[in-house]
Amino acid sequence: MTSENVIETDVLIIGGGLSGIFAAIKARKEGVDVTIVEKGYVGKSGAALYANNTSIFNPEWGHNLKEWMTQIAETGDYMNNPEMTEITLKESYERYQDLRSYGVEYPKGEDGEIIGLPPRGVLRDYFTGRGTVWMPKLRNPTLKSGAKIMDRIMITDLINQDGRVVGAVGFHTRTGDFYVFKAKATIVCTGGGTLSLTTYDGEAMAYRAGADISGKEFSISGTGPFKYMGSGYGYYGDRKGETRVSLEDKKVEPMPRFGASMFIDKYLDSEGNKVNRYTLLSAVHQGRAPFFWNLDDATPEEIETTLKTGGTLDFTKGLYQVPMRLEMYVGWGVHCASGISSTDTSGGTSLPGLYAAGDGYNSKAVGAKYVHRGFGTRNAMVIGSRAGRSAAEYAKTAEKITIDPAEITRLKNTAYAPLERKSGFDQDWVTMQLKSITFPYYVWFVRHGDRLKAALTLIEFVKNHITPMMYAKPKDTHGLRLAHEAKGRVFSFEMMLRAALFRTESRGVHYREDYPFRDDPDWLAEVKIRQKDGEMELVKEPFPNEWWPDLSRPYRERYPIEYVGEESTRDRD
Amino acid sequence: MAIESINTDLCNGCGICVDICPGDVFRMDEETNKAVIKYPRDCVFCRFCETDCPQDAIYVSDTRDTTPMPLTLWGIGI
Repeated sequence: MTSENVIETDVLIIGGGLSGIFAAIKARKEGVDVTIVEKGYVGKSGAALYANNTSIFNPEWGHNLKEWMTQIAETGDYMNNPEMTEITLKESYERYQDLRSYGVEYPKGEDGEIIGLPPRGVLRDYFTGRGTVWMPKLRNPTLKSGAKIMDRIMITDLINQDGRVVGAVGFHTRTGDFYVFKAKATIVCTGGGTLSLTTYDGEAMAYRAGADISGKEFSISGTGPFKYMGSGYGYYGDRKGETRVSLEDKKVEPMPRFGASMFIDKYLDSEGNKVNRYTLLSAVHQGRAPFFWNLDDATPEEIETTLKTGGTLDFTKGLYQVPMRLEMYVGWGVHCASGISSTDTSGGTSLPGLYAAGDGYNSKAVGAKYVHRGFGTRNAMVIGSRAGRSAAEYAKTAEKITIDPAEITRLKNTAYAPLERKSGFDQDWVTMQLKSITFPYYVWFVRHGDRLKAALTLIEFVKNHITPMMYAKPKDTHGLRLAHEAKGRVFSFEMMLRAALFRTESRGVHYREDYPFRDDPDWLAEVKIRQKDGEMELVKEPFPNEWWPDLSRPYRERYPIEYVGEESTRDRD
Repeated sequence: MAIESINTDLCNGCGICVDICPGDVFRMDEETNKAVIKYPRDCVFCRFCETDCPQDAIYVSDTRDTTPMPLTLWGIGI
């Protein structure tokens, strides 16, 4: 019924978003055969569609490398690889020039220059216009490079032959046909997880194939339980009320990213006390929710936009109860600090033949907390390019591939299993279980060993008992895609919980109520997750001394951002 | 609720929306030879369909329906 297609290529790129596109173009420059596979449509997929900015480092624009490096290291609580960080900064300007050569021009302000957005410390980012406007322009350069684009194919598994990744299998999301890709090198560019645009596809696949995953404890939270300034990555409400910018008019409209953001500094609790938005979660934990925005100074436009976020407006009190919805971004890893574990600065992983780039790759270019806007897009381009070159070099001298047909059969059965089932559990329900178990703030954000263990028990049950009995809903190729995405999510969330339980300290966005302090030098380390005898094994691998902060600096100076509960721990100096 | 409708009088069956949608929302109806919204819940609100439709036949509303959660994040009603 479904036909089987076997495609041989030198470099297979899974995922046609920003990192995959750059990987494909740069790999082609090395003269190898490149195939880029995307479950959507290359140029119109991936999280970059929602990006509005790119951070570019350029000394000619007054940027100081040491200052940028210091801020990045300090913000991330020293979980970054300084060598990788430096590379992403130094190669950013060339990638910006690449974009221009591909026909992507950033909007210019009245002074004729690209628009610098408000800095965070010394870090700068530049307005690109919405990704939906400029990403599609990258499709033609990808085609022109000679890379072969195959849209609407969802990869379900990598092929591991004798410890080497030699390709992947998947299905066409429209025809249902089966595809086997034999590739000398494979680059996973499937992105992170946002529950809609990117769905954790890559790391689950890589884990099953035997690769190391790391940084899963650093998943983005909303406002952190920090006492003072600084937070994880705060989103409130959903995406209603956005304005878009038209490149044609070169008009730059202020973009309240989410309808709620203009009220961000005006939170009150029901006693009328001000709530610092950075300590929102702590206030919730203390029982002070719900929160309100004071609308006294609000303009009619602001009120209208706020209304669209779906909360309740109480004009009698001039107050607006805050809708607390973080659904879209809960579980998303900090860009470049969570995912397939990096073994070098060029997209390498723990498996020969396997490379990765983008949000699904833990390059350690940044540390345990989101550093600034525009790092995701910048690092996708820099590391995607490097992974493309690395993979191409490897492919040139790689040995011939032989694949065990029994393995292909096994992977094919796995790919179609949800369609074969007539009953069981549907992926909506599975995802709902996932959310119910992990989303409560006291599991995900304000972590504690007991609650993490409880959640883990339930997630393991879902993985072991429920997902094997998942059936595709609707019962077609579209439903099959949704089922595989749900399966990947379950794996990803399990890894996040395990990593959070394993790291018995707090660092960056990973906050443990039972260990509310950074534990140097013991935890200046990476938590790696790998498959061993069918189970998840976790190991702690210390970072090289060169990555460490200066331990002679007093603790509070090393870590100016204090966690709630940190002051009551033992003398940290 | 995000993707809302395709005006079948305007739709010329070019298939662009079917080709480009990241959420895989559309299919071609083989009898009418026009695009149909088959999986509206998976709309990611990128608006490519609306922008790229040469006939301006597609309407995407300003609000996005999020999957109802049986459980609140914060212990209070959303």
